[in-house]
Amino acid sequence: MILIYIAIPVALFIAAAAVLAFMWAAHNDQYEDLNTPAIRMLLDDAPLIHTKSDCQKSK
Amino acid sequence: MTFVNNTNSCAHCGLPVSNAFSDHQINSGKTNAVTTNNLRFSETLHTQANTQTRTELFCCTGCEAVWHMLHQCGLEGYYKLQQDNGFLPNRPQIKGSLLYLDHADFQQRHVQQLGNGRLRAELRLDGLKCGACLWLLESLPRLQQGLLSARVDLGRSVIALEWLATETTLSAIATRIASLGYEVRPIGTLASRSEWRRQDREWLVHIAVAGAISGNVMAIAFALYGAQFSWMDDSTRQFLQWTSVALATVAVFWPGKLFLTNAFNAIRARSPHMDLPIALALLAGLLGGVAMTAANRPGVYFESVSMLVFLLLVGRFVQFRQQRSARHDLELICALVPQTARRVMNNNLKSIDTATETRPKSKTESIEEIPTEALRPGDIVEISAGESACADGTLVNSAANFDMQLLTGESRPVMVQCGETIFAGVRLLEQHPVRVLVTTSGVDTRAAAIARMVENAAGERPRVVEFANRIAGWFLLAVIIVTTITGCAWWFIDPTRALSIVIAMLVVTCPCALGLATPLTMVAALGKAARIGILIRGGDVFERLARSGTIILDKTGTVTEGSMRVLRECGESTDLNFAAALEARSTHPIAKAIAQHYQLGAIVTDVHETIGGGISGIVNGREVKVGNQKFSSIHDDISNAVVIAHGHDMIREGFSPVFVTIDHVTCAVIGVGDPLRSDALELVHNLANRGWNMWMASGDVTEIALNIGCQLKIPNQQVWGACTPERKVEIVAACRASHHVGPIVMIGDGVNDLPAMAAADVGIAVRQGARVTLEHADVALTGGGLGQVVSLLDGARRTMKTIHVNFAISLAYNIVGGALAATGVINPLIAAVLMPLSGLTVTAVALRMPRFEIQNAATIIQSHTKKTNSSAARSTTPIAAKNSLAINTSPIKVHA
Repeated sequence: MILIYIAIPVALFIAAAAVLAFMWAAHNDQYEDLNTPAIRMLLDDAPLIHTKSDCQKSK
Repeated sequence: MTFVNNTNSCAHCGLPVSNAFSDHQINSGKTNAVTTNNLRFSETLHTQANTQTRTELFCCTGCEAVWHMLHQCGLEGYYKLQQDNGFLPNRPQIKGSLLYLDHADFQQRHVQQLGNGRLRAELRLDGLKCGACLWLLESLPRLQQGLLSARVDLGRSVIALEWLATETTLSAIATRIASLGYEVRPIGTLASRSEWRRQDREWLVHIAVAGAISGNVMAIAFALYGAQFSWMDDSTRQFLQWTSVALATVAVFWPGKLFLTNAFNAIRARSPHMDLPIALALLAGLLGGVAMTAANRPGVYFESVSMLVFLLLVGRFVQFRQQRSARHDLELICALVPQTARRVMNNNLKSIDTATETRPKSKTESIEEIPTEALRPGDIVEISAGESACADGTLVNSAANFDMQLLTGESRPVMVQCGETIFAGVRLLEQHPVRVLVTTSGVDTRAAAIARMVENAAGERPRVVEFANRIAGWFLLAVIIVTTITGCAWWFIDPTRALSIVIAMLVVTCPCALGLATPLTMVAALGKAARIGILIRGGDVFERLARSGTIILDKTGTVTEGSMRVLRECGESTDLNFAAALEARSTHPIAKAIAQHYQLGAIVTDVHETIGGGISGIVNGREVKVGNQKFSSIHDDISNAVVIAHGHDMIREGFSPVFVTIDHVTCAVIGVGDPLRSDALELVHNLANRGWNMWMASGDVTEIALNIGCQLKIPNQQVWGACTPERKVEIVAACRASHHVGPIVMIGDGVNDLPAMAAADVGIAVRQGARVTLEHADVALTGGGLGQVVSLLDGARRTMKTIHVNFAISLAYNIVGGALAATGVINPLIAAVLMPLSGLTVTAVALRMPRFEIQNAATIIQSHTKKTNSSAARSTTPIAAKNSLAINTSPIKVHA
């Protein structure tokens, strides 16, 4: 069962990475609004100016 | 044509039509039929459209095409529906100026500097509905020069704007948004919002950590269970257990810190707290596990411990968000008080005397629009006709009628004399502006005090410790103790079996089902209630409403319709129509009621309105005066004794009599009052049958309150009149002190009820109420009628029953399963199969049981049939009115 000494730390490491990713997402306002993006995605003809400024903003 | 078109708005979407386009349509003489030629619609449409006499305007050919398509298919009912439901998308609603958004004070608190001259601000929008609004608003940067981006958050009804300070201003953008038909309001300050965001993130991170840990600990725990059936060497088991120790310690001391600190504070304050048993259970589970691991013995509780932290945190987070959203007092103040003030400048402000002189405006005066926040005591502000006062102050130039419903709930206009005090938020009913010397503004006003009172009362309301929270901690503690005892007992009986029995017990008593029971049932019930228009803020409402207690009703707008109507009359119809024609020229609510009730059309000239008296003028060549008794008799009219007598009867019945004098003969009297809602009597009856104690608190004068209370069969000693918002809170407190059985429920519609609604155990807002009231109440009834109150109460009771059934199921399961495991009847494998079964049972029960629909459908049908049979329920008002009319008209004919 030597494998377990490697597998579990690896599993925990992955879990920790997932938690860190979640924390990153939470700190970048990804959980601010859970409804609108689903609809926004369906609006196809977003004007050029709009998309540009969005890109800038999401920094 | 069912659609009442605004002069310059699109017939389909209601958007303002640009002048160029409409001129083009009109100048080229195009009617609908002609324009449709271009669109090649069928002949039938043309004939149909030709019958329309008016020219419809469209903002674009797209809207025009849709309009014709709908009419062609006979679907024009769409426009009717839109109107009835009140979501006709765009009635441009620019209420006053939005210039306050540019004021330095406002900018400092609400606008974020992004550098490079870019600014960012968030605004609350009313009228956001769906993806179409989203598209429209996010396309704004194309319309507005200098606006860089607009991002809408549909869930919170907030738009985040980013613009270049050099090219545009916030007020210009906001005006553009308002012109699209959305009402713009400021939301919390930058500081408060960043604090909220920080708290939200902290919660989310805690929940994520607790979730990740409980998942991993659970996986390890399964490996340890498996060790019972096959061989696992000691060192591997040790490793797994120590890993669990590490993870569970993190779970208990990081995300679980909340429970530990609460429990610690409870011990320090020597008062029991629901987190105390939870914290004890967490620590016992953790320390017990550590002890077992250190002693190199199996049998650990880490999965229960970390799962408990995770589940409880999720529940707390939901609760926390609900409470916080209910407590946003700034928005409440904004909704009550206009954001701009019209300050009179260059006026001689040194003494009030000069200001009170009603001299014509001198040339040195000018009026400047400033944000309400910038007002200072001593400023003189002008309130335009129909506007609300922006600050507390004294009236300086003339007496005027005010609508004080916002602050007092009183349905009748109140006459304020020169030099008397008015409060921010009251609405001017005159057609001419008045001036007010500001005494207090901003956070010191009465309106702000009410908003604070709402917040304070909500904080002081006794908390309901949720059933699940009360049970969970003790349950876990009991499981740990019982398991330890059983384990020890078996150790002496049969050491070889002790281990598997302890594990079977722990598996079978996993608190999953117990944790799921309450939230699942509540979510199911909330969803079912929302489907029929009962919006409930939080699950604790069900707990509070589970028992019968006392219901305090507001009068105006809750049990009555909240608007003036003609309920009694006495006189010839021609005379009454003359009076109505004259009243149509006034903005007074009583005058409006009369104008709506009778036929208009007579020619009115020489109108003269006397404040606090009435209105006079020439109608079809005859001299007509309409007003109160004082107004009618001032001019030495030949008073008609019968009419006066009827007027006195009306006063006794709680109506306001309006006398009609034509050519110096008082020939008619109209009784105006606020009629009872059709389903009010039924509501009171139904609630009393269910064991609720009915009280009534009204802002109206005591006689009217008693009169309505009498009609509703509420005993006089349980009816209060002339209640200020503060008084209503006192009544709630008095009720709590005197009764102590069951919850106190406040049902109201206006802002003046809000503090009492917050102080009561449950505040219910009815639909006709102001929007802010609906937002701040625990429950908002958005469907029609008071029948929903009964649906709500029955539904709440049924929900609590379901929750109790679920608890009983999971507890019984745990006790039986635990007993079987303790006696060694079931082994850990069977326990592991049984564990999800209890969860499934609980889920099934939760989703099936709480019924709102059936009950409500029945109530709606009931109330509808009663409505169609009409007067059965309303008997007190209209029939009586008709009777008295029949009696009254005969003697009048003799005189007229």
